Amino acid sequence: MTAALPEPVIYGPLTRTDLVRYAGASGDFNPLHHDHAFAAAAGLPDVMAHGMLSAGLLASALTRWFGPGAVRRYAVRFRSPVWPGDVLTARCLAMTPAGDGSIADLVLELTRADGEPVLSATASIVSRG
Amino acid sequence: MSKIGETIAEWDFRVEAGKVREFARAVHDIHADDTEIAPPTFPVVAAAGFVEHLITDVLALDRSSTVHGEQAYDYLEPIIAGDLLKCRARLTGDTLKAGKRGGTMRIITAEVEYRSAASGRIVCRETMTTIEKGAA
Repeated sequence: MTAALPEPVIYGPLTRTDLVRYAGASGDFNPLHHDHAFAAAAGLPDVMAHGMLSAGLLASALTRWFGPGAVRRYAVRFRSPVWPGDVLTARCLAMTPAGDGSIADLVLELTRADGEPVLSATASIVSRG
Repeated sequence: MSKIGETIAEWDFRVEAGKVREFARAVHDIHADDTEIAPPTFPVVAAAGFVEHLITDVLALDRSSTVHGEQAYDYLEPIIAGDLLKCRARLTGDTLKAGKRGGTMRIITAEVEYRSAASGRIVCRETMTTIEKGAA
């Protein structure tokens, strides 16, 4: 049994406001994510998006595809930094119905417009209904 | 390298409806305004103070040479607005490893367990991997 893969979800271009909104919502006030002078002193070209913002965007694609509360497991690996101006695409690369069909295992990726992956992830989904 | 396996923080966290909505909007969740189920990565909100404590006090890491490597969530039940969570964090690993481009990487792993105060059941386990580059 194979199921059609869900449609990709596109986010962005990310703005500094997106970063600040995420800082406030998450409580992660590491200045690398909002203070340009601090980021420059650390050798960065700009403020850098929170890795967990990217992870949250990819998770929101799961919620869009499968509905709230469907995630049983979600694991991400951070591969490349994300910057203001980036356009990110969330894709499901593979979906395998598992066990009695009530759970699907997914392979996911979040990529920049140039195709570079910024996040690799796997997820297990509980089918609802 | 002591403290492995030990509980390093315990706290309570109330899952407020407004905070769930604010977080869901910040991650561009299209269901932000029509559900009280927290988005999958919402536990970062509950863990923010702990992560700050871990990085600055327990491990004394230099933020400019520290990167977030991996993050995972295992859900036994969804987290829902109104829940009171009993949170317990442990340091689960602190090892040195040769980096691919030379130098030494310090790999730190921690786990946070979220238990429903109402049911007593674990609802979510969160694991995080932080990498300090150029560790001595």
